[in-house]
Amino acid sequence: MVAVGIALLYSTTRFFNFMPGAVVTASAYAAYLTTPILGPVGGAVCAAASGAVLGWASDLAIFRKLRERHATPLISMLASFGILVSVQGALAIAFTNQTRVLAGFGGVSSSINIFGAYVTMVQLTTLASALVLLLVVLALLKSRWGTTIRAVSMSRVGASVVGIDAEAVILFATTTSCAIVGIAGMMVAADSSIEPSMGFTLVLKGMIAVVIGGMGSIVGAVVAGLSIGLIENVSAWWLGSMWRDPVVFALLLAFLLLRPQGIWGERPRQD
Amino acid sequence: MRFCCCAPRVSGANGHAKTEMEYLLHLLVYVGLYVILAESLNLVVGFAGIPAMGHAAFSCIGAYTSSLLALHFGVSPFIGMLAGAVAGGVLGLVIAYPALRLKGDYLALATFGAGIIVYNVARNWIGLTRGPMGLPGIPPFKLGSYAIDNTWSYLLLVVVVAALVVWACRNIAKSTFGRNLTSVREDETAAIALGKDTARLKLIAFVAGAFFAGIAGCLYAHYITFIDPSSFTMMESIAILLMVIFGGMGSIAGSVVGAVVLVVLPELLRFVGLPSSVAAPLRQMMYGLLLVLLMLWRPQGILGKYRFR
Repeated sequence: MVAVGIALLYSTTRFFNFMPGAVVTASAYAAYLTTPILGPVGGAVCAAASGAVLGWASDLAIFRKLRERHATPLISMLASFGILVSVQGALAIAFTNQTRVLAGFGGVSSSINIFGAYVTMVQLTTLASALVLLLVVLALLKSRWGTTIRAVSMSRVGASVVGIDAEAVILFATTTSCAIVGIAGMMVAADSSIEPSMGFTLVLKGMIAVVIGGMGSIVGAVVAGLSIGLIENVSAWWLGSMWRDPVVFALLLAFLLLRPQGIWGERPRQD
Repeated sequence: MRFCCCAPRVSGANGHAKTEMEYLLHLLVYVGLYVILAESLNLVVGFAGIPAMGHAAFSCIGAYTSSLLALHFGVSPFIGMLAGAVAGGVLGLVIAYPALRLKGDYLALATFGAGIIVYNVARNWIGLTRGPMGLPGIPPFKLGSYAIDNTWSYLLLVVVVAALVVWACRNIAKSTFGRNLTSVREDETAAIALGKDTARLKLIAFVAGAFFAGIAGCLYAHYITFIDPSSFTMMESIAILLMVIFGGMGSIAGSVVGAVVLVVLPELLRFVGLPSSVAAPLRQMMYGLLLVLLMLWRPQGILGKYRFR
């Protein structure tokens, strides 16, 4: 789910954006605050809304200015990294570094047995909502909006020439993808726990999924995201859980070096 | 080298009675260490134009190499420092040789990934590094029979080494090699057209940067006498990068300024009387905001002429 959001974001703005990491964490805390009052659905709405607001505000305040100044992908990437770090710091001040648990989801007790494997309700909900969101995004990309997003993604100047408001499209895509990532943040929070640094690892895994799946290919990102989860667990079982991260990052390096366009992606831009 | 534990670490090593003077000297040692790190990264980022985001990895391997040599084989830290620097350089070669085929943000992501792998290896290879438990009791530097274990003498050592590194970097930057590097940074295609082996130039710059970072890692290890992987996280790499960017990429004086300001500035928070549970994330937040603001308003830093592209 994080991978879908990142893929959508990358396809329009063309740089490795660390924003989803900030959004995941912020939304998880939003859900943490609102779920006890409004219930799981209300919490999800708040998580999505806070993600959208964060994405919207960051685009207006920072990334739009960077685009106006023709900032390179690297500068934008560093700026988004700065946002991630400061959001993480701000949340650590507000909520301390302690891990929190998202209440109101029944926890592990409400698990069901499918073919001998125990699956919690949370994981089922995550899977279901990920599928629904994937379908929504794919449908969106086929629609008129999607066409304009893809046009902007191919060439911002070209899109402007034919009368597309490129800035508005980017703003819309950023807000939407941040809302999706926000819901993902809540799901992660429900499945495991909440802490200020949770977004960092998650956004890195998402980026790895995007690189491996292929830049700009949403289906690729999803397939890669799932396979990374699989590889992680297989390597944890085979080599021990502490080698999980190195294996995944080694995979990233291998793909960056040998096949930077990923499995389904287009060739990376040359600049 | 993490900032946040300046005071507790030293009180462990030097007893609890810490005077203000001692604290000031300690801070200056940190400034010296970060000057070395920022200057070495400046060689890579500022002069060669390579966006390297995993610099802490090299000080990590330098620190572990010299500490393990000293702990298991009783090797003098001076020789250990050389070994650590070489180890840093070799790691740099291993990472840079394949990674330098990439460009721009792809290269940044690759160095980022490499940094995380090194951190995880240090954390999980328990048999060698004792993982998160860290390596305690690292012996101090010895000059003849005189042990450099108080803050005064250590400051002197760090200042001498830092001055040597800055001097070396300045000479590298002014040499033919340095000018060639700058030409690669400004326009790689033009440099190739003039017959420069740009891949080789960048590789040498990266390895040299990793070499100096290895030195800084050793100095840190034998000063604190305890290392664990948490001193070499990605946040650390980002802090060093921020010093280089803030001071100005490709400016020798800039990196010194960046290291001084960004080490001393957060220390001021200590005097406001904030508890450390707030001060550490607040420092992180300050760094993050500073990075955003710099990227927005002055991507070339305060003394730099060059900006990322």
